[in-house]
Amino acid sequence: MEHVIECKNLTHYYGDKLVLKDLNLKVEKGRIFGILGKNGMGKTTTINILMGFLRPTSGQCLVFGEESHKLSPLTRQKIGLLHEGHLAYDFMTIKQVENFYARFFPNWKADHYWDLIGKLGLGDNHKIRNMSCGQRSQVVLGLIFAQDPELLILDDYSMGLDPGYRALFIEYLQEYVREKNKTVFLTSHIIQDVEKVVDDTIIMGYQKLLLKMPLTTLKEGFHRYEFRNVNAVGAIKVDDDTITNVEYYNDKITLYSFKSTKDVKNHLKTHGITVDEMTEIPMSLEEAFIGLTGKY
Amino acid sequence: MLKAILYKEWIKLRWAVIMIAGLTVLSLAYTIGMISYYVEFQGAFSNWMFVIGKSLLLKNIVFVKVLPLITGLVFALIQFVPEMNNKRMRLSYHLPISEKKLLISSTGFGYMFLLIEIVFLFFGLWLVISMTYPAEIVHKVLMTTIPWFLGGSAMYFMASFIILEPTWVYRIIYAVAAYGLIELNFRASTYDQYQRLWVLILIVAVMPFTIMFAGHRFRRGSK
Amino acid sequence: MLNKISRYTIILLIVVVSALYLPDFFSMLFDKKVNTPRLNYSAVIDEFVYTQHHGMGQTERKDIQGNSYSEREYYKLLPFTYYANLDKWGLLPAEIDGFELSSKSIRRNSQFFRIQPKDISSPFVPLYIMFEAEPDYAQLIIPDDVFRLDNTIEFLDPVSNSVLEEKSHKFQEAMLSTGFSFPAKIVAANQTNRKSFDEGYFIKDANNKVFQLKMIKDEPVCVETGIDPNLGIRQIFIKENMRKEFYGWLLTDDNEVYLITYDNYKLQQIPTVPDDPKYSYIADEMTIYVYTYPVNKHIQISGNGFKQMIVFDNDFNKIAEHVETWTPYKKRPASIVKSFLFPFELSTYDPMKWVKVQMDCFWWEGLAGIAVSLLVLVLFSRKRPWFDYVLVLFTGVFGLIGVLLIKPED
Repeated sequence: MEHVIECKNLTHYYGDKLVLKDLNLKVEKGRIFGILGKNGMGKTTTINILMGFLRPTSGQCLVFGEESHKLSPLTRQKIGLLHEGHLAYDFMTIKQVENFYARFFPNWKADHYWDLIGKLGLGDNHKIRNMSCGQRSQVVLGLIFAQDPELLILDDYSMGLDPGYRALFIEYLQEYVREKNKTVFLTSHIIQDVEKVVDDTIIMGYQKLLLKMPLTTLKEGFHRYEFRNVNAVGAIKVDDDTITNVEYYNDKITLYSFKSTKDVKNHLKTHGITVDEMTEIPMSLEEAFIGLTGKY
Repeated sequence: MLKAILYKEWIKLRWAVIMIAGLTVLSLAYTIGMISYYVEFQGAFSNWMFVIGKSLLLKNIVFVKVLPLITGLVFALIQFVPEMNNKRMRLSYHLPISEKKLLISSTGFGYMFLLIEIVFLFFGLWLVISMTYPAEIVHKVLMTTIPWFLGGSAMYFMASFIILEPTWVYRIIYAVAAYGLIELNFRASTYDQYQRLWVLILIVAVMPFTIMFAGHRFRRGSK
Repeated sequence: MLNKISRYTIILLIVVVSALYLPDFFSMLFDKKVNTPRLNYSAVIDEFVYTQHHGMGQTERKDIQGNSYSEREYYKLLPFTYYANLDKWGLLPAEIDGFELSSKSIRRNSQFFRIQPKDISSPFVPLYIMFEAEPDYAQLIIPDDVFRLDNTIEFLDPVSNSVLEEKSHKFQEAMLSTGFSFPAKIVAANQTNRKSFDEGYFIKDANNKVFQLKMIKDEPVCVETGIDPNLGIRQIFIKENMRKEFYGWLLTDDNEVYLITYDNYKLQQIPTVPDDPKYSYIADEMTIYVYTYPVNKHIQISGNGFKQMIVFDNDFNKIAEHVETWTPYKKRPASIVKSFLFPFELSTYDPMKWVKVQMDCFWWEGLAGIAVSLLVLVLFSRKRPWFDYVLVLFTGVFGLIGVLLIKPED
């Protein structure tokens, strides 16, 4: 199957600082793909490259088979972009902005826009700059839906939105995307929302990819264990295989791992730490996320 | 699609265009008023002596000198500051229209209004001066305005270019260069003092080409 | 491709701005004022004398033989220049070469004028005023009309901004009847009423003949001067003086200057270029001073780096000549350094008061500067597009500044 988005060995430096290293990802048609991660881990960098607003130091990003920084106007017609902060032409009114965008897309579906806008209860001549973040997000979403793009790229759709609008956004997105078999690429740091919508995820950590898997796998395969051992405090090392993360609080040790209790205990034993009682504490997806990426 | 871009620019510009149109008419009215005042105050012949010998008209038409500069700056600010705020220019660059067409049509549209103002000022001045003064003076005064109009045009293009540039360091470099280039058009102290106007025209004619580079740097995310 | 053109456009604009301002700035910082000698000729000792300032109010007063003089002694050598002070001090000699000296007689028999580049060509409005040449009053009266003189002569009334048909027709006929052919090519006069009398206009017609046009008792008087039409007259300059020796001067295409005498408009040529070819400068850059004194005439030609004074007797026979030189501007250290740093400079300065962009190239020295700039670019910068090097090759340090500031984007 042809990939809608494909990134190969994407590497980027800001000056001397390495932000992305050999990032590889593929997004298939009809899938919803999410990049999760804390701020500053390279999410924004990736999406900027993808949107064609940043030239990567090395590596390549292809969208519909074209290099992301050189997308042809015809290809751009197929991509609906939501910019961080729900950027819109502030100086336009609700009516003007629809009028404007409609002329660029031959398959413009005006009723998609007006359906959403209708729910805001604002007049046609209401200026976008006089709207709240939430109201503006509706406008932007409405414009994207009306554009009827094959690919939606949504950069931090939740920024500035209160829970009400956030939920609304996710609801519409889900309906729209499922109905029409659209491909979506989004970034976020609100796990609960993402959980509902996203098929495949990349979780970004410092300079490396942490996980590339469906969230269900994260939810089911990632474990949190707790035990007490004064001697073990500070002695457990993080590694790629067994111990994903470790936290200490007095003599209480919390471990995060993809391995089973038995495997973890064995691993600790080989490193000289005997554990008698280790309990697994179930986590929400958010707690799993924090466990994976760390609190700081 | 081009029409849509012009539609967008018009939404931004319309109030400024109306205001500037008003100022244009006011400038000409001011000129008429000043000329009448001086003729009345000095007597016709004496006034002609001052006009001929002491370049008095340059004082009377001072708004014609200044207005294109102000207009160029205001239009550039109104068109492009809202676009560059919070990197909003990304919205425009993502539109399914080539970057080249986007920038050329935006600046072309803004410049068109400036050009209309210039033409209006030129012919308006022609009319106004002819009412009171002979052809020789009319000719000299009109020739004097040409570098000023070039200066106003330069202001528009340079200001647009500076605003569209994403980083402050480059903006400052461009601003310094722009000052030197614009000032070049305002070095006359008497009528029709410029020779080799073609050099100034050439300099202003290439200015629009600078804008592509700013857009390119924005797209690359250059620092 | 368009992006590359765009970048080079920006760089070229930076080159232009740098070339306009940097050399100027450099001059402003490093040029030193040079005190040049003030030359004169003493009819008392029949020798050239000069004063030279040496900063801090130190002034040297010498003759060209090397003898020094105090201030009063120096003044005594030049009665025609310093008669006012000498008179006050009671040091004015009674006579020189048969001429009786008094403040009044000296003033009456002296005349000075200057010929400088802006007199040759300068911005102006081609509208003129015609004085009544023989007024009833003691002073010249300012008229209340102006006239234009091109394909016809037309008098204009400022009050109505219209042509005075009758007067215009009268003058037109008068000129035509004297053989004047329109259009007029040169129109020259001393357009001020601060003079004791008026000689009207000297006009070169379409056939290069020169006519004098005056208004006497409201009637036009036009006279063909008989000045040789084949001289190639480039400009005429009129300045009345009660001595009535010359009307003014004219300049030819060959850079010759002639005084127009009252002796039936006969021309008297005066030197404009020093005989020594070492000092041959174009007329457009020099200033010529013509001093007429009771017993002789001094003509001084001043240029960049030299002053030549030639002394004539009252019949224009050459008596003596002398040249003072000093390092011309272009050979001074600051200038030389400037020409190494900058391969060329742009400026709008013009001695004739026009504003025009001009380029001054510093050939051989400039090439050295270019070589250094290229070297800097090669050594201190990573690989660049080939055109960057070409640009620096042609514009030296200006191009270097441009390409270093505006980095190429791949």
